[in-house]
Amino acid sequence: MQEEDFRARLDAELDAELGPPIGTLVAAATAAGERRRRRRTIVQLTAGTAGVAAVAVGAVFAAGHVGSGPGAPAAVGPGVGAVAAPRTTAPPTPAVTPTTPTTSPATPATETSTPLPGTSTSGQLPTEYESSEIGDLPPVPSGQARTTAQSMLLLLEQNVTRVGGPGDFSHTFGYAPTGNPGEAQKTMFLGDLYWNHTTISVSYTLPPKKQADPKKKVPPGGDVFRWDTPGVTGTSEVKLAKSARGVELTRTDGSRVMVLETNGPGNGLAGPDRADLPLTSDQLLSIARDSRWEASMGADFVAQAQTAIELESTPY
Amino acid sequence: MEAREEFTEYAAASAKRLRDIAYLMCRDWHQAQDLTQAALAKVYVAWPRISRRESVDAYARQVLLREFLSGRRRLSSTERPIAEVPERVGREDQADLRLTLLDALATLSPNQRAALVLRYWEDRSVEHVAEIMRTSPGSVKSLCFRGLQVLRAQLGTEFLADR
Repeated sequence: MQEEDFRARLDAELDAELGPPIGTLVAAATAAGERRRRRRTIVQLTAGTAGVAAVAVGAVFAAGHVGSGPGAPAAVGPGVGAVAAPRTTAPPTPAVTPTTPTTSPATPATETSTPLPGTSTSGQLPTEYESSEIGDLPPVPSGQARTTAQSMLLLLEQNVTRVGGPGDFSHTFGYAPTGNPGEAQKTMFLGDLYWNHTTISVSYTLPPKKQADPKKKVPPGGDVFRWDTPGVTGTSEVKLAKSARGVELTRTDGSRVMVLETNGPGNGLAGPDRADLPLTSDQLLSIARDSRWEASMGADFVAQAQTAIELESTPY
Repeated sequence: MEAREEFTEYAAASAKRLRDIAYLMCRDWHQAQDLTQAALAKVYVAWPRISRRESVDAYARQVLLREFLSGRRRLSSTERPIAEVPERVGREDQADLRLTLLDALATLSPNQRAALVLRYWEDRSVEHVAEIMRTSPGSVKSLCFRGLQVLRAQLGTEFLADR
C-alpha cells in the first residue's frame, strides 16, 4: 500500500512540475554517443599505434644499427608517435617526413622481431589495415589499390570542396576498427579533416558478412539516417561539442558511409570555434553518396593521396 | 543502421521516464535533461553489447545513477546556469507552504533518494535496486528504511504509514 501511495503522490507532483519538452534530447544523445564512440576508438587506436610505432622505430633502429652504425638517424612515418603539430593549412608535402626520434627506443628490438600487421621494417608506418586486423577485406580489383587513410582524406577533401567550396584543410591520422563488438572487424578508415574550424569525419563500414534480413531490405538509393544537434549544451561529455550534424548512408549492399561534422572544443582543437555548422545535411549526404567510398580505390588516386596528404598526429 | 534504429527507438521510448527519474534525483529539469542525455549517450556506445540482453533498462538506470552521483562529486555540479527563471505554473493552490514530497525527497541523501525512487516510484524489487546501485539488498533496505523515516518526520507520521 505504501508503495502505491508514494508513487501516486510523486506522479501527481511530477505532473504539476511541468518539465520542459524532451525536444532534441534523443538526437543529441545519439550524436554525443557517436562522438564518444569515435573518441574511444581513437583512444584505442592511439594506444594500439603506440605499440606499432615502437615496433617500427625499434625495427628501424635495429636496421640502422646493423646497416649504418649506431648513430644513424632513423626515419619514422608521419603522425603517430610524433608531437602533435599545430593546426595549420597543410601544404601538399610528401607523406613521409623524416624525423629523428627524441627518445631511445624503449622496446628492445631484434632482427627477429615480428612486425605487427601493417608495419614494415623500413620505418614506414602502416597506411592501411591488413586483413588480419580488419577481418576479411574484399580482394583489390585490378587497377585499384587498398584504401588508405590518406586516400580517404583526399576523397573527403575533394568532396568537401565540391559541396562547400575551398578552405583551409588539415588532416588527422585516424583509421581503425571501432572496437565495438560486431563492428570491430568491419569499420575502417576513420579520418578527421579540419576545414575552416570544423571537423569533418568519414567512416566506411564493410557490408555485413551475414545475409541481410530480407524484411529489412535497403531501398534503392540507400537508407539514410540523419541527426542534427545544433547548439548542444550540457555538462561533462556532452559539453565537448557545441554542435554536431551527421548522415549515415546504408547502401543496398549493406555497406555504410557516415559523414559527421562537429564544432566546438569537442573536435580536440585549440583555436577559434564557430557556432554554425557550415555544411547542410543534404551536403553531407551528397558526400556520403560518392560511390568511391570503398575498401579499395583507384591505384593512381591512392598514390596521389600518399604524396598530397600530410597526416598530423591525433589531437585526442 | 539496424542497431542505431533500435537504439533510437529505445531512447525515444524511455527518455521521458529516465528524465523523470533524473529530475527526482536532482530536482532540476535542466540538469535532469543533461543527465539523461549523458546516460543515453553511454547507452548508445554500449548498445551493441547490451541490446541483446533483457537488462537494457537496468543498465540505463545504472548509468543515469552513476552520472548523477559522480556529477555531485564533481566541482562542476555546483554550477547552476539559468538562462531564465522558470515559472511554476499550476502551483498557486499550494501556496500554503505545504511541504511537497518532492521537497522532502530533496532533503535526503542522494543514495537514499535513489533507493526510494527506484524501489517505490519505479516499483523495482530490492534485489533489482541493489543491482542497479551496485550494492547489497541489505543496504537498499536500510537506505529505504532511513529515507522513509526522514520523509515521515517531515511530512507527518501518517505519510506512508505501515498499514
